[in-house]
Amino acid sequence: MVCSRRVTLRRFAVLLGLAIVVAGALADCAFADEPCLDTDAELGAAGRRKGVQKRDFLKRLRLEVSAWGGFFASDLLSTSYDYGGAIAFYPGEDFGFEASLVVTPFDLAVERPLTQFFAGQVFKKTTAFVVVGDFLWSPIHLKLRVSERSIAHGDVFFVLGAGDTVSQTVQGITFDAGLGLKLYANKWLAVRFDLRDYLMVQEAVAVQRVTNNIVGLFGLSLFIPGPRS
Amino acid sequence: MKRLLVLALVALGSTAYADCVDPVEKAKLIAQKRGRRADERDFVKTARHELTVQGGYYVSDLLDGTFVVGGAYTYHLTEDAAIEASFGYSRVSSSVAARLERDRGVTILPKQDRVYLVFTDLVWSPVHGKMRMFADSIIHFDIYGAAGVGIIDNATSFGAAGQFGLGTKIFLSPSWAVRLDVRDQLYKQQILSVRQYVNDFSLTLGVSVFLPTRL
Repeated sequence: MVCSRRVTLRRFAVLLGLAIVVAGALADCAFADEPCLDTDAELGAAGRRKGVQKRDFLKRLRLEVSAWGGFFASDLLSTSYDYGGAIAFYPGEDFGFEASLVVTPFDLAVERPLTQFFAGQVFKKTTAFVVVGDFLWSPIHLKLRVSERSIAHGDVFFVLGAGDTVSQTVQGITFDAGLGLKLYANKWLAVRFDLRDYLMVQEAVAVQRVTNNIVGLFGLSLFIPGPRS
Repeated sequence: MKRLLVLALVALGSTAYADCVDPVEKAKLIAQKRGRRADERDFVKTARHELTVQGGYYVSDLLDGTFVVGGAYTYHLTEDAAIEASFGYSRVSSSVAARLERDRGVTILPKQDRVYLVFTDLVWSPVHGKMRMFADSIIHFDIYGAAGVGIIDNATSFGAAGQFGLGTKIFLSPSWAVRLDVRDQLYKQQILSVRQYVNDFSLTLGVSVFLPTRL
């Protein structure tokens, strides 16, 4: 009687052990499905899209000081070079405020042939200073493959603003709108390309009209203070 | 019995996560995800033809800013290099010259005001990138430089011209793209007896279709 009870207990123990092993194996499978063996996903749960990622370059609460130069394609006057700089402040990652200066010579080359025939030059070459304040909006963050192993981060941004052109040929307010590309070389420095349209009422040789002046700029930017931890 | 139970529990503990990841499969998946080669692009250009319709603003050095419309054909030799033939049409005038003509009773500019721009360019796209728009959509694009020679046919132009510029192409689908180009046309222009080198700038926005449309 005692022997048969022992046998029964031993069988029960074996069955219990097997049940635990089977349950453990089943539990293993349950875990396995979740994080790693989903054949539909590239890397299971770990391979899912990361969504909005942390940016490598942060602009928030930083000051950007830029120096730039390029061309000033004038509508009424002659095309010329330009140079200048800008200071911007970013209250957020996507928007900022900028004050900029563009210095360019204003000349009227189409008048030059006439001055060879007739005495007296009507238009005198001057230097113009275009000072504007802009609202910056950077809705597009991008990554560029610079070489086989390096990726550069950047922003596409839009500007809209107004200001004044210090020149005798310009009357009233100067408006500007444009877009640009900024590539971040490191945590401090960026390379920028700007393309802007400066709208102003301009006068030359008694001709007065609204002009669209296309300005292309290439510049370097320094962000201060350094990146926050 | 106790030994059996202990063995079972030990076996359970040791196999809890060990079989979860097959190292070979994991390595393969990681290679697929991380080891993407530079030539494996979402948008393939090599050996494809690109047809473009474009228009925009043409800022003449001596004359007034005006419109420009045209088209381009580009053959992509590789992912980074291409050759392009482009055509543009514009009409130029000068409000200042018109005023001077009226005031001084002279003719400065010829009556014919149409301009034809015909160019061939070498296009180099060293930069391929992607940008995130509106949180969830990823768009691929190229930034390229172009340089070439051609003809600016105008009553005041001497014909031969050089041009260089920059542009960006944003790929909307496997066969469609939007492109933005800035070009500087350098040539010699004559007004009355004065000849001078001028820099005309054009800013154009265009739509491109890539052929064959299906790869």
